[in-house]
Amino acid sequence: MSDFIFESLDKETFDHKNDYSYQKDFGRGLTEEVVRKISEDKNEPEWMLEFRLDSFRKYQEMSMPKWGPALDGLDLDEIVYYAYDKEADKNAKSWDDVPDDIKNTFEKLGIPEAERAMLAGVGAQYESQVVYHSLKEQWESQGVIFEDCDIAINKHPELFKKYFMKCVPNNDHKFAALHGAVWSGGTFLYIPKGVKMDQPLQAYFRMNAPSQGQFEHTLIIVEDDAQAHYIEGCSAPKYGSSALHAGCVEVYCGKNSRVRYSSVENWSKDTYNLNTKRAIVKEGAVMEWVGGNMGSGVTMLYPCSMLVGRGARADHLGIAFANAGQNQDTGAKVSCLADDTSCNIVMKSLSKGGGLSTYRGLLHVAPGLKGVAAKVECDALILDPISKSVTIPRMDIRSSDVTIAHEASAGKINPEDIFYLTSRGISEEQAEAMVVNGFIEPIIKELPLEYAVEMNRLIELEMEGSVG
Amino acid sequence: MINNGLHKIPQEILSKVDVDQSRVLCGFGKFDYQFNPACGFLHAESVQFWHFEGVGNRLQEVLVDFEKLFVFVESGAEVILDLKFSNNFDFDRFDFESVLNEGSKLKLNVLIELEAEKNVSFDLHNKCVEKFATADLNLVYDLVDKSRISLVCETSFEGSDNTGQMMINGILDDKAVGEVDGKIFISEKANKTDSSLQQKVLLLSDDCRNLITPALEILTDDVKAAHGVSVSQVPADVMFYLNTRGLDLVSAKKLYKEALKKELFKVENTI
Repeated sequence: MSDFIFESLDKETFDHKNDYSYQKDFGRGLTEEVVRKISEDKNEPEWMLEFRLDSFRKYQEMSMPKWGPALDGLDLDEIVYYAYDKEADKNAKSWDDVPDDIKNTFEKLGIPEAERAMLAGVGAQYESQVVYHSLKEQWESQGVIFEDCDIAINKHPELFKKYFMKCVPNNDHKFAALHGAVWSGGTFLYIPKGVKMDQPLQAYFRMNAPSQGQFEHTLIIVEDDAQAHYIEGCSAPKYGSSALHAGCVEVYCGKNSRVRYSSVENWSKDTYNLNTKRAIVKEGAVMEWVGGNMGSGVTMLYPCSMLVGRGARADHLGIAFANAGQNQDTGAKVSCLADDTSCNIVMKSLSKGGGLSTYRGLLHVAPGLKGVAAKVECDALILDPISKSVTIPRMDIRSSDVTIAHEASAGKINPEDIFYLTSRGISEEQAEAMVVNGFIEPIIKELPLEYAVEMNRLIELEMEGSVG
Repeated sequence: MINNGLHKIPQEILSKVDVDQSRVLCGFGKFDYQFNPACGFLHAESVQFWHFEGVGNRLQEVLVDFEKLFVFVESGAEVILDLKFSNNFDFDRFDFESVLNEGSKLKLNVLIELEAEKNVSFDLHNKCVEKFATADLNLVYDLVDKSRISLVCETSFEGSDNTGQMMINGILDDKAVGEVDGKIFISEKANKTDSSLQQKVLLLSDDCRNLITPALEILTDDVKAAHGVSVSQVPADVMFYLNTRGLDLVSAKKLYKEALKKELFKVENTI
């Protein structure tokens, strides 16, 4: 038995496949009928059906992105946009009510154990459906709402409608429009004014069937002076056919609030991870993004902070690991739209086995602002001669009273470090792993201990066999 | 003496640079001697091709009024080029491309001063195509009024043991707009390359705008590549000091700008 919940994770845990015969009841490709069926199944209000249909029209009209990684291998007609295991009790409040094979999957991933040990609440989504959701009583009694979005739309209709896809509109880009049309499940988190949650909440998203699409929606509303830490984990087994993840995360940070959003994304290498994450940060609030992108064949993920209130701050910390056949196109976007706003972006990337890591960032400072400060740091470690690294930080500065600093470096592991460590009796493989751990340490240390262990374990799994 | 008449440029040289041969109107001879032409010497055709051999080549304060310049630096040659663009030119686009062979060195110093409503694109590309080549760029752009620059600076390293430093510095005032893309490209063959890209911008007005993209594209591991950017205004303590000496805001900014420009465009005489 390991000391840490996620320390025993291995490749089998993530590659484990359950029976997916339920998928045959759902068709491939996207039509208006699919969109209508999703809305009907969920018993949604009329406005949401109209919103879905409007999004579907926009999706059909919009073209694929003309920048970033090639998406030629993604056959959108082969994706199953909506599927779930009908045996699963939707939104169970007890793990006992979750079918055994699904429960076992989450057990292997350590989710129920983490819930018992350290979390304020947990949501678990399997394909298009949330199968488990819980929130500890102490937080529920303080007015915290932690629900599956499918439930929240009917249970908290005004709140839901006020915020849903206002931060990421459905005309933002093609995959935001797609998300608007077929979103299913996800998390609705509402923290009332002044409530400071000192325990994190977690949602875990699992895709099981091949060619599956997952489009969960995460809507986080943190009122003035409140505080929350939300963690997301994702994984899927590998089949050899393309899967698609086009989730959407919207975060609203009230005045002087503090929100931390951590994610460990470990989709399978045949997944296209085209996720959109954005936060609106009000006066004096702090938004922190901490993320690790490990899996996915192709990732396009650029968490964005819109600093709209005076003194708002955003911290973006991220790691991307590109192994053989992977194209990790990640980064950060920050728009400074008020005086005295500031941001700190630290991105670390690792490339190995021919993988390509790209940092793509945008820092925008609106005209006429005073006292804006920004620091961007992106470092790349290239672990062998066939791997690649690209850095494209873009800065659009329209005010003079700013202090902007950016620095980046790329290169391989310093041979002197390896020589020193091996001369102390450490094997070359261990020495390399130690240097890599040191490289990513500034990000890892920002995660709760259990998740730092998980991230380290995932990197260890990726590093296996890197020497010799 | 310099051979500034039209002459045939060897095919094997032209094949190494991306140039439409029909547009090469003027070719200079080999700069295999110490050369220091007077300011404003090089007024010729719209496209120029310069070919350097040997060490000690230097063209100082060349006031550019041609649209394209191709520079070919032979193995072992060393060249310092100081190009100056001072608003008094007709073109709205300037292209520069250099090809550096084994062990050659190029130090390119560029000063661009734009005013009024001048709107110019610059594309400067240094290519180290063989091993042990060095390409350094020191560029300063000074924009005032409603002038606008679209600047692309790229150094590509295609041989092993290449080195190169890019320094791109901008000073913007009034309603000037700068769009500046700096890029370092290191190919699969360019192991042991050591490169850096530094961009500094001084913004003197709330109405100016600077868009900066310092990019790295690295296709192998045994390299050093770094880039850095800083954007700031005139430091408050400097302004305070100048104000206490009786200078008003406008004069203080002007003085600081001129001093900074001089400092940034400090041209080294040796490689």
